[in-house]
Amino acid sequence: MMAKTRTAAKKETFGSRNAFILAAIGSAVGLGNIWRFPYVAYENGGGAFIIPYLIALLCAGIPLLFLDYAIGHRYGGSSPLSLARIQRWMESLGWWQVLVCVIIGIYYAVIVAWSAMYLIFSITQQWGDDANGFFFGNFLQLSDNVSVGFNFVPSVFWPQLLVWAAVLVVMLLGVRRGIAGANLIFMPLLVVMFIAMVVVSLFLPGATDGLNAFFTPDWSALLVPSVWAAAVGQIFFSLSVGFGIMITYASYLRRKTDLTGSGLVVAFANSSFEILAGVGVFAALGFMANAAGTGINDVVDAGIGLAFVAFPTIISQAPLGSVIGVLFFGSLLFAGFTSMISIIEVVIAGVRDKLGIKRWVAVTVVVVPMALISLMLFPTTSGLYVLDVFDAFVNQFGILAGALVMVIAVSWIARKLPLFSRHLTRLSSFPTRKIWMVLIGVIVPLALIGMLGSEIVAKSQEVYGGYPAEFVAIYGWGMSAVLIVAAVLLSLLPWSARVQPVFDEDRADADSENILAGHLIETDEGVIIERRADNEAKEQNR
Amino acid sequence: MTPEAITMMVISLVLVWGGLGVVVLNLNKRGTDRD
Repeated sequence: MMAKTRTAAKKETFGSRNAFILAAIGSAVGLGNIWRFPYVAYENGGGAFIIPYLIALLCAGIPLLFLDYAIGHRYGGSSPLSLARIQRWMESLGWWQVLVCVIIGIYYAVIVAWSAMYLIFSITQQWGDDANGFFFGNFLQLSDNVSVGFNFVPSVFWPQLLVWAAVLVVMLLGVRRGIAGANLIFMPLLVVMFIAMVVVSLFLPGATDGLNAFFTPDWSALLVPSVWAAAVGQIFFSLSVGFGIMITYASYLRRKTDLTGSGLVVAFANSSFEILAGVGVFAALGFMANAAGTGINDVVDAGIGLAFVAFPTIISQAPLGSVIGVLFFGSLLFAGFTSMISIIEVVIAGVRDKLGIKRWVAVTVVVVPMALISLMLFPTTSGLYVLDVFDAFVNQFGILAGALVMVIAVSWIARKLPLFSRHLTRLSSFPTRKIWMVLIGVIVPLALIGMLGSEIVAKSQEVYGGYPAEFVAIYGWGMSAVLIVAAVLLSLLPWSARVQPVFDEDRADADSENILAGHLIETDEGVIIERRADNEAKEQNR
Repeated sequence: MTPEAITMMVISLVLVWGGLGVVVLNLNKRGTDRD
């Protein structure tokens, strides 16, 4: 019999590796898998795109995922805390990631709300014969005036309020019952519904035309640099890497967890879903082109246009259209919701660590203000314009910049890659070798610099989206600048007495070795206890 | 569907879904984090 002594504080954990993997897949599989990947693949070589896509997955996506896991798992905190424990100045980088998540979270909610409403609309096909007019006119009541206004649209406001209420409940329930529980329910539902949607779509007249268009390879595309950049961009945005989500989720893992093995499952599951989405979406688009008597090129679309205009049109014309609609928008709803809770958790974890407060307080302090801002800005007649500019600047530009600085800081300033490589290899079934350090230290930064450079050039050369220049200056460039300043200011605030950004690397290594050797045990709550013989315990009790 | 498109579809599906199968098997071979 063994006696036990507590040696570390209790922390929230996922409870099991599988719960973590499911939550990480739930985060990675989002709207982009369904409405971005099929279009990107089609536009960049069709079937030939699989080659740069897989190379980008193996050389950039998976190495970055491993880096996020190593940081979160080793330093055991939110993004600001974990990065501050590497080097104090890097805390501001963590807050940059948190603030990017704040912005993405507040607009993600409205897209999830649209999906929920369209799930209901699908049953009666409420958009009638004009899906485009219905979405922008009747549903969003989009104003011609590009500015921030407060003309509320009740049909968007109320579902969006419900989305925030659901997020609040999930977050209050905590990591194990809330986040893991929600993913345990929604992810199987998402997979079943999406596979059913794909199968139904494959039987539509013209589906094979769509698949031909999607999979016919254009080998010459492999010689075009922008195709390779598109592949890296797709992998980067799809895997939820580089903006704090995977750092936060990995911090909820127990010490003895196969990090790289889990990461490979998450990465391949995400890509498997993307390929499936390509099949389903292009089978449906093939039907749409067939029904309209045009080519695929005339109907292909991405993003909001694909989901809320093209798909409703398909649903109206297809046999079993309402079934396709419920399956498609149900998939969009569940994919969006599981991604959204992962985004919000980054913010909650950051605030909780910084202030040293209980979870329910942090949830209230974070979710309520975010919900209020979200409900003021987006269910309005001009909400779509703000969403579009936020997405273009904060999501694309912000995540790229944050990830680039983090990779360079970790690799070249803190020089932590050998340490992280040992950490990953010690615990994992798939060893990271020098090749991982080369990829993270050289290849990934170069790829990110290339993407960020082209983003900056593209957005500097002409005013984004044809919007008024002052609108883009305020809500695009201005918002990005405000986030940088706010991130630095937040990093200057003191940490609570309970949580300190200090870290004993030697002790962490020793603990990991002792857990692996069986000298220490870690409970489900992440508490490390010492294994001692009974007589030794009795001796100490005297 | 054209033979070329069918080939690329099969290759794509086999690579990613097959890859998923391999990494799941590798993870399960290792056991769980409770071991």
